[in-house]
Amino acid sequence: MAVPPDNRITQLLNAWSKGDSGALQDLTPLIYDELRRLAARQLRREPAAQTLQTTGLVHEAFLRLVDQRSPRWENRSQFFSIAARLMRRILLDQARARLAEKRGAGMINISIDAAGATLEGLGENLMLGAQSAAGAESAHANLIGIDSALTRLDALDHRQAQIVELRFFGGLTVEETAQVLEISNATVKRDWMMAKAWLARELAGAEP
Amino acid sequence: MNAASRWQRVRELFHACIELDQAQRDALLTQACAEDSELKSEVESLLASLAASKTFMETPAAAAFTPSDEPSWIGRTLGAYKIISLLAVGGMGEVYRAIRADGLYPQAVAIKLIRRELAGQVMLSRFRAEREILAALQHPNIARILDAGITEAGLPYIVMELIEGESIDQYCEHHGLSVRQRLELFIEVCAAVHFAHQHLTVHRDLKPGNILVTNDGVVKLLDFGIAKVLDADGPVEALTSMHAMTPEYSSPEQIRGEPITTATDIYSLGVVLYRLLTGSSPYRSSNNDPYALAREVCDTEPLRPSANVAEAATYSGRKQLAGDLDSIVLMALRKERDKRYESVQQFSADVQRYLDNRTVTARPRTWGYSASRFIARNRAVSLASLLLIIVLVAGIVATQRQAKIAAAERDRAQRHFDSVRQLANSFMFDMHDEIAKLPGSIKARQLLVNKALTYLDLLAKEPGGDPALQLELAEAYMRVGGVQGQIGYNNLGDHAAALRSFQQAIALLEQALGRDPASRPESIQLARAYNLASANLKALGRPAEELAMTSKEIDLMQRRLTLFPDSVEVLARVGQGFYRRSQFRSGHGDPAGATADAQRAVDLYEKVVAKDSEYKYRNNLVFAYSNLGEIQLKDGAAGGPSKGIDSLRKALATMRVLAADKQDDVNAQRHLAVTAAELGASLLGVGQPREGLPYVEETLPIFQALYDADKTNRLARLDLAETQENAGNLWISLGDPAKAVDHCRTAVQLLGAPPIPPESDLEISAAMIEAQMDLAQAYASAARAAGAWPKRKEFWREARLSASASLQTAQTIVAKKPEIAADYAAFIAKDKELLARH
Repeated sequence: MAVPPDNRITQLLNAWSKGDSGALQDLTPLIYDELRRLAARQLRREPAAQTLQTTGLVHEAFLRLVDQRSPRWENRSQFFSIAARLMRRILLDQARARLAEKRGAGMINISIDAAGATLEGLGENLMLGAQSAAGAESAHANLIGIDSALTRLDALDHRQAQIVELRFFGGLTVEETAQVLEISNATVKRDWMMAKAWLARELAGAEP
Repeated sequence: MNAASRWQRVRELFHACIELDQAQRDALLTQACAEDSELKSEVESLLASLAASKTFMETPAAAAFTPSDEPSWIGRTLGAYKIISLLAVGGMGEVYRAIRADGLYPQAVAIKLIRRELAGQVMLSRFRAEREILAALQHPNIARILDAGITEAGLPYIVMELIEGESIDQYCEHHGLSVRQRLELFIEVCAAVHFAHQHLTVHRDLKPGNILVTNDGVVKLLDFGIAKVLDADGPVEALTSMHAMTPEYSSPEQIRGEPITTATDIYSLGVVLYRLLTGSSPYRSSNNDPYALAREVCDTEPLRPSANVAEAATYSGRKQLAGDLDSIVLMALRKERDKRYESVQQFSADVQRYLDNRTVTARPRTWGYSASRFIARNRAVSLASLLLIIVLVAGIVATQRQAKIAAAERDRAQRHFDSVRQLANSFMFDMHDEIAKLPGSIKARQLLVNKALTYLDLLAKEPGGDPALQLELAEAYMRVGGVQGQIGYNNLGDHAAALRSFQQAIALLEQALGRDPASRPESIQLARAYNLASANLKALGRPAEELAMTSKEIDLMQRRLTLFPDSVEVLARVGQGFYRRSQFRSGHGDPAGATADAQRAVDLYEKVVAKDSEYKYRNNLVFAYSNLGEIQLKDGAAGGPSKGIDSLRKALATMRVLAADKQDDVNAQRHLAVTAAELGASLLGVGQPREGLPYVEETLPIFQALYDADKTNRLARLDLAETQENAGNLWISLGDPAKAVDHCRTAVQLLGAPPIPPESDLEISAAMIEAQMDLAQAYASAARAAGAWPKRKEFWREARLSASASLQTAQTIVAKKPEIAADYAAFIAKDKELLARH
């Protein structure tokens, strides 16, 4: 039950916000461990009808790790952007692990076609993933597809990729995302739509 | 157009299009992409993709994961119980319905299986001890804990009375209870919580879900003390984090991870009452944003209940809450612990006063307010008598004003008494359990100290002085200070905090003792406080204040001595004060002052021993003489050394008599040997090795016997090794290098012997460095004495080996602990010098 000393995270966040890039390196493993622990806890213990609540995880990690007495509330933005990136990693690891489990340990090399997902079905699978093993499996495969498409989007438009990371992997709301990126809610909404459209097209293999 | 600007163009058009309908989009794109059909089709393709993927990615990625299957507990047995069904899944874990597997009695029970993450490392023994305490928490409104244990997998579980009922808020709604009925129900809740507080159990997680009302209308509190059971030896963070998930009923101190006290439950009860009265939360943030909620709990004053009643509530409902009920609820919801009600009992009494139409305490008393309550209380009377009453009230309030002063005095005394008693209880129970028994329970101790300080500071703030209470308070501060940093005892090492506590004690004592403190028996206590404050000042490196504090102690006790010249205790205290001040002055370049103080210490202890020959006083007289001798030897003044030797001889003479009566007492025998060895070494130091030799030789068998009795005792090992070394040095001076080499080699072997590796113990390693150095010196003198060349050469080789061993030991230590390099610099320099010479 080792909780890293509160002050350390807060100090690192402060150092990072002052431009100390080394602080980020120290910060990442601390947050990563906590998020992974929290996620594992949820997955082990929540009743079967529920699924992982990313928002809950990220917020809980923040409450646990960052000294709440610190007046620097802007730490929250920094924390969330790191946490979202880490959640992406954790969820991808989870997806790969689950797929490997299902297929027996071995190479995972699934294309979206192999998973047999339609674009419309993709979202549904993600939503209903909890209810059928087959659905969950394709949802996991889809996640891997989204992740690699997102890496490509990042090369084209870094901010859109960030928005996707914060919203989709970090579970943040539009307002929270806007706060973290210091842009307007409207911009978040519009870029979110474009990123979604772009990613959906990528996944459907419909390159122009 | 490069890729980046092309992307920007697509983005602009896409953003623009999503605000438009289909016709407008077509028009815009046709116009904007007149010469770039590729651009047009790119935007159109994205728009089409958007239209086809409305639900795509709208659910966060994590939703793709479901929990892995855990084998179900249903049907399995746990201890004496068979699990029947799952009742609920809560923040702490699952709750099952179970029955006795042996069918001894048919009643079902509830078994709470605690999440592993919350359990921390539950120590079985502590867990059992706590569970006994909780089993004893018998109250008709508290769900009983019947049993508790740990599953094979190490998960703690708790067997409780199974309560069938609804949560209190739902019960109130479903039964349409009036405000009065709700308040009456709430008073029952308070009675149960107060009962638990009296048994030193804080709930820490009070919320409607834990306050059930049975179909018969009986209130039952669940989970009382479970947090404490789990926290028996576990991390405090577990609880903090648990609450962080549902901050709505948590207090600010819980969210901030600060120590939890009964005030925490008062706050949670305040939130519960708020909900019962208004149907809503005191906070604006929703439970779905725990972060914002947590922040609001800590930072934002809640809305007045009357301003927050549910939309549907009538004007009269609103009006009913305004005023007293607002004040009562907000009093419980103060952010600062010490501004809330001091106990649940006070909280509930205030609610009762409201129900009785009497003046509530949560509101500042004013004339008009008192009168309005008085009138409300007598609402039944006729208008005519009301007029009469108003006239009377004026008179009554006026006369009450005088009476009030006395009453307030009494109230305050009562509050003092209650809080101090509470504090004392806390120390008696918690501290005894948590601190005395468990090594390394710093966290628990810190928690208690903070709790104690909260009470103390609160009490100390109260104006006016009842000397008896001030003395009681001072004593409490002294105890807190002792935990924080009483030198020489196991303490938290927070000397700054300890100093503050002792200074508080001093301030209170000085105030309580009045103008002639020396005449009061409590002056001994004050002297102790000066003493402890000075010890902490020493630890903090504030010598000037340390000296001033010690001098205050001496002055006070000297004044008391003029009043009670025959008191052994006072004589001994003054003696001790001079003894300590002499050491301070000796260490701070004041040899003359040091000598004078040390001499006075000796004189005073001589008087003490003449009156009372108790062992501890005679032992202290030996210390006083040794101290005087050491200071005189250090003093450059004429005759210092010979006077010093005389004092050390007196110390030894006194010690011999003392040790003769205590043949079986290891400490007395050791003190004798130490005293003799010091005399021997000092005689060598003043150039009289032949006189010194017998004293050192006399002590060797004593130290050897002590070491043989317990070879793992590091002190015995150090004593023996240092004395062997001293003997070696004496023999070098006396011109017998062979004997010197023997003794020094024995010292080196002793220090290097298992089980303590020298590098793990700084004191032993320092002794080792010196012993190796002395061995090198002994070989060097052996070489000088040896006539024949091969022998000489061999001795020089040995000397060099030993000197480099010494150097190596020193360098190993410094490499391991660079921060002490400065301390070892002299050793290293001396070793290098030795090596260079040989």
